[in-house]
Amino acid sequence: MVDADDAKAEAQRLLEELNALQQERRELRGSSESERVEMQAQMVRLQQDAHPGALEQLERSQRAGATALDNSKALSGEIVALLDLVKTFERWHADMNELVIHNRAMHEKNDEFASIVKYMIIVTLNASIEAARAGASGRGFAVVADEMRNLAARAESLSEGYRNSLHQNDLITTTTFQDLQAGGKMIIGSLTGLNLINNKIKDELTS
Amino acid sequence: MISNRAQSSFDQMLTLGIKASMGGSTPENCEVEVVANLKDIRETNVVMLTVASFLFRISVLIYFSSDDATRGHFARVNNVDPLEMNDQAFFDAIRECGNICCGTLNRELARVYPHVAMSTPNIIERECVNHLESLNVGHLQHFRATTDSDKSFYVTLCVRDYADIDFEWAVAEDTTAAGEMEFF
Repeated sequence: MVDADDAKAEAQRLLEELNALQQERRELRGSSESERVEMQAQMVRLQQDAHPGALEQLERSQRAGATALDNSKALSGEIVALLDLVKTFERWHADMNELVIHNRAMHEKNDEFASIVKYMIIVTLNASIEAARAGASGRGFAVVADEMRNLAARAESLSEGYRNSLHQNDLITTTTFQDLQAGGKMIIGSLTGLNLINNKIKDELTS
Repeated sequence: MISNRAQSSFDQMLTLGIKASMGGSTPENCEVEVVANLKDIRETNVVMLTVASFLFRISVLIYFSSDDATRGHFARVNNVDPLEMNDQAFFDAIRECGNICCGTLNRELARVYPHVAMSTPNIIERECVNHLESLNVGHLQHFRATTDSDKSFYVTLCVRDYADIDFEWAVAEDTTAAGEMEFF
C-alpha cells in the first residue's frame, strides 16, 4: 500500500522535474534561434565582404547556362526538322527519273522521225530517176522530186541536230541531278554532324 | 581556276580509284595512263557519277559496251558464270565499279575538303560525252586502264570549279584497301 503523503511527495517531485525540463527546452530553443540569426547575419556579412562583381558574374553565368541550354534545345529541334530535307531530295530524285523517261521517249520519237526521213530520201531519189526516164514530159516532175529531196535533206539535218540536242540535254540533266543529289547528301551529312556537336553541348550543360 | 598541283592531285586520286575498281587481280596490276582524247573509242555507253563540294563538282565517266568481252570481265570479277550474267546483273556490276572508283576519289577528297559527297551512278549514251566541253569545265582528263587480264577501260575526269582551287595532296600509307568493304 502506498502512503498518501508519499504519493503526494512523488507527484510534487515529478512536477518540479517537468518544470525543469520545460525550462531547459525553452533555453535550447532560444539558443538555436540566436544561432540561426547569427548565421544569417554572418551570411549577409560574407555576401557584403565578397567581391561584388563575383556574385554578379555567378548569376550572369547561371543565366547564360540556362539560356544556352534553351538555345541548344531549340537548335536541336531545328536540326531535326531540317533533316526532313531528305524528303525534298527524294522528290527531286523522282522528278529527275520522270525527266529521264521523258527524254528517252523523245529520243525514240526522233529515231522514228530520222527513219522516216531516210526513207523519204530514197523515195525522192527514185522519183528523180523516174522523172529522168520520162524525158521531156517528166521535167516538171523532176523539179518537184528535187524539191522534195531538198526538203528531206533539211529534215535529216534537223533530225541530226535534234538528236545532238537530246544527248546534250541528257548530259546536262544528269550532271545537274547528280550535283543536287550529292549536294543533298553533303547537307544532310553536315546537319548530322551539327546535331552530334549540339547533343554533346546539351549533355555538358545538363550534367 | 584550278592550280596545276590541284589538277595533278585530282588525276592521282582518280587513278587510285581506277586501280581499285577495274578488276585487276590487285590494284597494282592495273596500268593507268593518260590519253589525249577518246574520239576513236567504240564504247556505246557511259556510267557517270558526281562528287560535289561547295567549291567544285567532279564528274567521273567510265565507258563501256555491253559486249561479250566486257560481260566476261565483270562476270570474272564478280565470280559469276558469264552465261548467268543477265542485263540487270551486268549493269549492276558496272554501277558498282563506278561506285568503287568514285568512292575512292570521294574518300581521298574528304581528306582535303571535309564537306564532299557522292551521287549514285547513272548510265547514259556515249554520244552525251561529246557535249562535255560545252559545260564550264576547269579540268578535263582522259585515262586508259588496262588490267592484267588485258581488258582496257576508258575513264574521263571532268572538274567544274566555282572558286580558286589549290591544295596539296599525297597518297596516304593506308590506302591499299581502297574500295574494299569492311565487315563489323
